Amino acid sequence: MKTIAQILLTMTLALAIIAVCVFAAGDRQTLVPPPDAVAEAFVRQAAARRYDRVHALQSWGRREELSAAVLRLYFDPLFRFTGTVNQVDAELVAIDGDDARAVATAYGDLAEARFVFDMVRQDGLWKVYDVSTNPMLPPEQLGMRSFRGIARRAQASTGRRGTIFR
Amino acid sequence: MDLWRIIVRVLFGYVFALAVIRIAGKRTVSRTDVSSCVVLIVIGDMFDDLLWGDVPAAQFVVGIGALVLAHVTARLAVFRSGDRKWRQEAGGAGP
Repeated sequence: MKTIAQILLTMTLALAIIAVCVFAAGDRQTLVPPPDAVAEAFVRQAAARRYDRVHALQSWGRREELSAAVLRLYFDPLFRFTGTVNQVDAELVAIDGDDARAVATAYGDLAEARFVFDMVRQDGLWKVYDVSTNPMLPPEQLGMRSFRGIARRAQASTGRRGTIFR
Repeated sequence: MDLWRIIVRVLFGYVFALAVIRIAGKRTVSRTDVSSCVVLIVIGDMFDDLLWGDVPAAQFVVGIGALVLAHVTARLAVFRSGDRKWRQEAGGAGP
């Protein structure tokens, strides 16, 4: 029993240290996943069709707006177009207070897709509130037309405004 | 990714894991039974996630803490059941 109490005490102490670092000292990248790691995880989970996990990476407001089913409607056509994703690279663009921007590139068998993530810090963690894709490529090249059509259909069926892709 | 951030994560994870394993008892690592081996493999995998910033440090702490707590509790239960058996056998064999 003494051992169990000591382990619980050590865990509490470690969590307190983390809380001080994240909330009082304002740590944004060391003891919490940095924005580029969140962007990479987002693309990896979406490429693996794990939309419930993608859903959890979104900010509160976005989570209510876009369910896992709606995310599936958005991402499935894109990843059908890119083929099986073999590699994902992510890079931090900027952090400004509680806002951040990161870029992730998914390299598939057939094509590559580039995502720009806008993030916000909630409960000390970086969460995605907006994603835009392939700003440098023509929409036809990445099936953006059908993509937008799907977004419109999702919007009509759910009655919610889905603007994950600007 | 900044190298110094990796160093900070490694140091944090190392100190926490060392503290918890020492509290749990040196046998956790020196005894080479199946359950200790499983605990060490899982801790190693969790360390990898912390090192690359895939999970928040708080999740690492809760994950390792829960794992070691489960290990200690299971060990305690095994010890007590062995103790009971020994007493029963000793009682049965007695005059």
